[in-house]
Amino acid sequence: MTYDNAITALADPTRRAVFEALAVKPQSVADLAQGQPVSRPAVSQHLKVLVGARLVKATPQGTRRIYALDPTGLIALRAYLDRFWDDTLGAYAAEVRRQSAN
Amino acid sequence: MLDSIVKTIDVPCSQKRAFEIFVDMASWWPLDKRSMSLMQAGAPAKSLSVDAREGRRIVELAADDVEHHWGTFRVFDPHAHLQLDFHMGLPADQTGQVDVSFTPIDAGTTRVELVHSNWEGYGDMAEMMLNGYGGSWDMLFGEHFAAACAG
Repeated sequence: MTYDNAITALADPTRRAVFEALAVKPQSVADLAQGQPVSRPAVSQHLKVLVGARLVKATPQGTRRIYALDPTGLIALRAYLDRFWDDTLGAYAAEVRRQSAN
Repeated sequence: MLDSIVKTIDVPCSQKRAFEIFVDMASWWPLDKRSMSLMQAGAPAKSLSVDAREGRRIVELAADDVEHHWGTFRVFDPHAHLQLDFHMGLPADQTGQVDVSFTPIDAGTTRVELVHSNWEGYGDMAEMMLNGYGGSWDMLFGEHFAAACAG
């Protein structure tokens, strides 16, 4: 399931660091490896997992591939927060109605 | 880069009252549904402490007496506008912003708009949800994803 992969993929701190670096700007594997305390093959491996979880997508640019965030995998987090605010604002509106009735 | 979450509701009271009730969060926040305590201590939080002033905090007291710092008021402009750094138990540097505006529609109706932005910075929340919710994960997301998969 997509959401399960997304959550699991982000549970790893190094992978999350790669993900966050791509949130700042799209980059190639070489660019990413420069900014991370891990080897280039390790970065490639993390990217593979992130792409599999649909958190990151690759776009060919000449001979390189540029990696960027893919919002698809963030749907789970968004759905969670969407419901979070539905629940809380629902409770707020109920309290306003309760106080207005008094 | 990602779209903010935007929620708009109309409440049947004046702008002043809508604002006052909102910042009195302890009176309405559903701790039995949404609290750190629920995820980490397995029971609703004991209380929510809201110091409703600029620069001051919202702190939850969990069932196991652990305090969770939820957020900090960054803009406090009665009775029109609030802005919070909102991280709900995550480290304060991993914060999203919650912006709430109160607009009078007429004497007895106020439109409340809540915008939650920068939430994609919540990398750790994904981990927290995984650890905290465990078996109830399907219940939380099942409906949404069942619909998405059916489409």
